[in-house]
Amino acid sequence: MTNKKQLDFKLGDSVKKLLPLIMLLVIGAIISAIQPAFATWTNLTNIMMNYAGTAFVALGAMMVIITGGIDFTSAEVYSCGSVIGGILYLRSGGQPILLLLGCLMVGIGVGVVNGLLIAHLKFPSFIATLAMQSLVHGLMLFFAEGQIIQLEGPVIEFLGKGRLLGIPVAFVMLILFGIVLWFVMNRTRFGTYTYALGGNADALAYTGVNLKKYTVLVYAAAGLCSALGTILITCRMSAIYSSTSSTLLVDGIASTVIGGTATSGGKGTVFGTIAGAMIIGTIGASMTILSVPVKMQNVVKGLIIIAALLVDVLINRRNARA
Amino acid sequence: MKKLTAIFLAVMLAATLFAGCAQQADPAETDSENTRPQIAFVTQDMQGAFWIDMMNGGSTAAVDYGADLIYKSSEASVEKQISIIENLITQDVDAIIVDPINKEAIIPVIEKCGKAGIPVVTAGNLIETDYNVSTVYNDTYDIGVITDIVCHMIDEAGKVACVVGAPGSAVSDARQAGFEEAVAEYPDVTPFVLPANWDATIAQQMVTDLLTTDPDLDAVICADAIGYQVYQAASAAGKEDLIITNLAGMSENLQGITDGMYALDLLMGGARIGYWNVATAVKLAEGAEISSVIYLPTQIIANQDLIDQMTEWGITSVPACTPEEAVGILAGYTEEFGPDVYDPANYAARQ
Repeated sequence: MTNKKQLDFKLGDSVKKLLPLIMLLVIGAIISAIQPAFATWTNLTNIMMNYAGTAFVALGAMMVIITGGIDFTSAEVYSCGSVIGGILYLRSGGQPILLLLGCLMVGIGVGVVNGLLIAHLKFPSFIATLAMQSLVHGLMLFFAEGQIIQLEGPVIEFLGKGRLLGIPVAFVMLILFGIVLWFVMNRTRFGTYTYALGGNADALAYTGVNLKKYTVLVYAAAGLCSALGTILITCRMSAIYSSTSSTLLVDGIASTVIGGTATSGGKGTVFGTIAGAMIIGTIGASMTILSVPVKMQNVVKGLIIIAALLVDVLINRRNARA
Repeated sequence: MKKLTAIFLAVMLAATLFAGCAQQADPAETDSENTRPQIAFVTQDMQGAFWIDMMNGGSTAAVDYGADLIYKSSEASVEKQISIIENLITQDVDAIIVDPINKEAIIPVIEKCGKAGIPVVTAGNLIETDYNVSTVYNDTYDIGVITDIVCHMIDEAGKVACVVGAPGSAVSDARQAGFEEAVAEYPDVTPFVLPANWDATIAQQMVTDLLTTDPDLDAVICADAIGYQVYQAASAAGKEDLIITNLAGMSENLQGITDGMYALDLLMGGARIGYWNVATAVKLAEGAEISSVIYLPTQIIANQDLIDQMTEWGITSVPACTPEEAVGILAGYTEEFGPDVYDPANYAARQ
């Protein structure tokens, strides 16, 4: 007779880390079986291009959530950053470097303010970033004055739609940034402290680490990620609208959670987050590709996200019991 | 640190008090001497070029008509919109303009306005109560005409997509209904509806995705002024011959028609709409009797070649003009609806 316990197994750490990628491949395979056009190089690279910006935002969300916090300002960083960058671009007669600097300035600035409010004034991250969301949105409306700014030029084309060996430049930038961020999160003091802030902040404080400094740095880094996402999305759009993306915030947070980042803090991976963003992109693209009825799209999208999260929860519970 | 927090909070509280006092001072000073009509304009949102244009036009109308105008944004929330209107009833304004987010949900509060003696203009939506005037932009009808034009452009056979807002939005549902009703007349045309939530980013993604599975897509009808993003998606896919139509007649998009990016647009004009709605509200506040429904004159904006073809096809129920003519019409809304010439009775039937 077979011992039931002998049939139980604990998924290796390496498989756990690959879980978001495995989920991405499974979802992609299912969609491809229904609609073969999904598995074409054109479609796959479209998803990479369209969601690279979201992935950057998700990486910022990942760092904040790892510390046990939350950041609601990413979508407003996009709207305000692109507007400020667009105004600088227009006034300089079309200098793309000023567009990029404007986006970075807003992203990092908002991140620093978020960090200061949370670290020094002890505001809960939920409240601080909600308030900042409103403030930055107002600033966007103030500066935008309803303008639509169309962007042109080789730099914008390259960043938004360019390809290197057939792979979208935006996705190449995402992978390169991901490698750098992986190194930062896993091989530097900043990364160690970021995980520790979410895992056991009190213990970290006892070691003499300046928690406030690293909290501000984490939110500033998240703002930088949102700014980089802003640059890619704006260049892909080749236009700036004075409006907030309706899905960027939710997609960013959902991407990192699907990618294995624990909302309780202390856990999350760079490439899991990137895979999570590609899962979100795959689900989004599949709504159009599979011709899901309009009124059912949000329902189907929500169900797929719940299913993906459920798989992650069930596997983690199995590992905890084993 | 507690001291710093306390100082910060005290400064914020003081700033809020000062702002509140400044606001309250104005009504007290004006109540005794102000005979200008107090008009409130409750928008769905205040972000986006169309809304900003509309507000600018409305503000111009307030100056021309000698009214005091305040704007309130519902921030895309039905509950907030209703709450704002209830507050305006308390403030006893002379007229309210509301761009309803939900046509059914807004009816009870319109009835409250009516019972409080405050006339209401429901901007851009046909809402039937005893207490409002509906200013209608002909969305459903005009999208149907645009669909007819596009179907004729592709010889009544092919694939046509319509990019709309979000299901449940009154304007989006009306435009989607107009498209679906019109395209049903063409059995050899395959329709697609893309719910982009009025988000240009999503619109671009959806068209990109659709071109993956249907690279032979012939046309995209935009139920919003996001034709530029559709053009970006088409260009990226190498689909230079995709027929794209725009909506709202934003001045930024008119050159695109001349340049061949878009086949046509619909002359509405954000500033023109804002001016017209405020002018109507002021007339109501001053006691004018206005038909329960009035229609915004719209025109198809297209190059002369397409206008000539429309005549050949017999699609003439909506007037047409060239982009150059549209520039003049859009800029001349103060002459069109100014206090010396505007008579709402002239707009009681669809133009």
